[in-house]
Amino acid sequence: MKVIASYNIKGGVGKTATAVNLGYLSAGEGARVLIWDLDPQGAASFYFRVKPKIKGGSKRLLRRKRPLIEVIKGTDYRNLDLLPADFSNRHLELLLDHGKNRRRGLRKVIKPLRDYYDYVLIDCAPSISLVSENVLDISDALLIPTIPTTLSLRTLNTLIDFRIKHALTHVQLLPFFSMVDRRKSLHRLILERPPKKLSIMLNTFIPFASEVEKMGVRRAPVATYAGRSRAAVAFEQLWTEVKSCLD
Amino acid sequence: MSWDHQYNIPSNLSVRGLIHRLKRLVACRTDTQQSLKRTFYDTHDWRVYGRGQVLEEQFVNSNTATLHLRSLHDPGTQTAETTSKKPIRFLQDLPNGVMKRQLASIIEMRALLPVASMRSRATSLRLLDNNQKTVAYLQLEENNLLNSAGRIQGETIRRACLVPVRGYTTAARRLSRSLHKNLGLEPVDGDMLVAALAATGRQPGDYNSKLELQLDPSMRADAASQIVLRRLLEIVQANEHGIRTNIDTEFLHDFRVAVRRSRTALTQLKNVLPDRGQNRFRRDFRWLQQITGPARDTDVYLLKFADYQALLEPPLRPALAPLRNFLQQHRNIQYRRLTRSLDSTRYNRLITEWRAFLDQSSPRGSAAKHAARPIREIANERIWRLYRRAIKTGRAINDNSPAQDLHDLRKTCKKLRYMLELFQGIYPQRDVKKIIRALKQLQDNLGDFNDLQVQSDVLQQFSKEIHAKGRAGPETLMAIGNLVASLRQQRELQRQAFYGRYEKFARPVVKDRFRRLFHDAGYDVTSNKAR
Repeated sequence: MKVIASYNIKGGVGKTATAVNLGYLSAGEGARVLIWDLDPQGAASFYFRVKPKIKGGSKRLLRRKRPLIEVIKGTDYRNLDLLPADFSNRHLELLLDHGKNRRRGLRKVIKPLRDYYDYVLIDCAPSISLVSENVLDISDALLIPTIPTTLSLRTLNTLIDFRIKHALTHVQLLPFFSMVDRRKSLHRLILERPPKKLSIMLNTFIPFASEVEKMGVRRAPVATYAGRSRAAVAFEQLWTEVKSCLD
Repeated sequence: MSWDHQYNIPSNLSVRGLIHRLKRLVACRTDTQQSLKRTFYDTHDWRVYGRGQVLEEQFVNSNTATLHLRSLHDPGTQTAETTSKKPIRFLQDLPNGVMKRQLASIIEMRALLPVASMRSRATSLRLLDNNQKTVAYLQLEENNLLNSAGRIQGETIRRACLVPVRGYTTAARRLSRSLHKNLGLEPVDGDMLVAALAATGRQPGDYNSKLELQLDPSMRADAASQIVLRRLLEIVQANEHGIRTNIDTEFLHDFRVAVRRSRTALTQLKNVLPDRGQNRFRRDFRWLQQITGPARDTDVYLLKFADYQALLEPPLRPALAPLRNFLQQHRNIQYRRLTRSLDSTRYNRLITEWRAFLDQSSPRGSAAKHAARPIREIANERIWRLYRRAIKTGRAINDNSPAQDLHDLRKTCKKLRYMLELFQGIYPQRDVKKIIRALKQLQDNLGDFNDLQVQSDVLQQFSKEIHAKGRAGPETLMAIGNLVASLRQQRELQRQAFYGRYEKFARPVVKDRFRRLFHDAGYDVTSNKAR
């Protein structure tokens, strides 16, 4: 089982769209996939029309009295399940902090899922916190959607340093440009000449496209209603590239 | 609470009519309508069914198959699903993932064989909640069984199959109630596989390499022995086809075990069966054991190949590839040779005459010396004697003993094990199981010691042959050399571990159990229970 987190310190960069669309594509290939909506805002749960509620809240997640699989919901798509968001996820930080192993608290949560899934895609909340550290701890790879702007690149640098400082080097960083608007000269400039430190950037980028924004109206992955759009093709390419990096 | 997943669609109700009535009853949408070919798979010895699972392959107008693994008793529970472009026969044909992991512990090295096929038309409906979220699927199927020639046979089986979505069982249960109460559909028990097998006349579990015979302890020894030997002959014959067609390695394995058990029974049950002809059968069974040996050996090397590779440093592992090719070729030659032997007059005469020998009714009066004694008495004597011999041989083994001594002990233990298994039906099951478990640990050690010895010698021999034929470079020869050294090291470890295993087997509590079961006359042969 591979755990891939869609993560960025900044919000509104396309984390949820990435998790949802890549999850859909991998499940379509026959893999068993779980999307874990860890963001209290519950956008991924909304896209899949699942109530953002876990019986027992996030306490239930960590205490493991009953199997985690019981709170998982099937989506409308084959092989694709969702661990919904819960508003109490905003307290996850506190719960982890009081736990025995505060930096490794999610390990035991994720372990039983190995019998069920090939991929777990985590949709993280935007922040850099104890929860993020825990997510990095259990992840094999980090998908980092990054808007090609100066501030976004600065944030990415912070994350790269954080990973080294907290000895989380086992996790592979897979940053890629997201919401790219070719009409903007800054986007074009950064895309053509990315800073040297960012040689780890993936080749695929996701364009800024109305099809992706429409996910909120359609409440479905892009490929289900605009399969031939640039955005859908870009997500397919991104998934292919991510898979090749994971092997 | 359990609820029904499958319903028969009555003959007076068309699928369209059913959909029409459903749509007035619940919020649902037609998802797909498709023709598909469904094939159910299992191993020759029904390992998937035995573990309460169903493995189904579905082809929908394409060359990509979808494989489903689900619970037999709860068809709504899908445990794994995967897609595959190439036909699936062995575990290694499956893509990596949950399905492969789950099947690995079920089928191991066995081949998957089709057990039933059908052509189906299926309409899938989605049951929706207020958010238009799918909360259950209802699959309306019209299934037509296919015979071995691929032609439709029998009547169409029309079913409504309810598949819950994870986390929404309440909705599925509600729909299940509606199907029964409002639409009058009658629930059916069991998976489609069960119906398909019933229609084809196949019995799940119709082959099993275990003996599982219930014998009356007071039965005449000759009659009981005949029953046991007939069952072994059945196993031998049930595996012939699989050996000839080279399906997987376990056909030959089961065949050989049955032959060896028959040999043990023949020698251990002296003076029970009529003396005439016994020597000849003993000779012929030994021949059968010998001609099947080389093919089984190459099977073992190939089955162990991954373990061999793991014994080497990662950079050296690919260098073993020529050895694998050599073994494959060697195996093909051995199997061809073996098939010729199975076609020979000697083999066919052996089987026919052995059957006739076992079918002859016990001649009263003129029978062998022990023929009329109760089987329990005979089995007791033989098992007790073998146990004592094993203990005595084991006790004499020390660091200076030659490997042959361990080999002799291994053979005695094997005979003891076979006798226990052949006649376990006349003893309390729990006691015999405990004894077998204790014996098995010692046997594993002795078996590994012997196998490692033989394997290291044979692999070295192979390496010379490969070299002589110029089929391998120095890297391969070095890899085999390292492998042989590694196997010898392991053999030494097994030898050291022997004393501990033997002590465990020889401990008083095991001895008491043997004595109680096989030596003390504390058992009533008629009631099968301790007095």
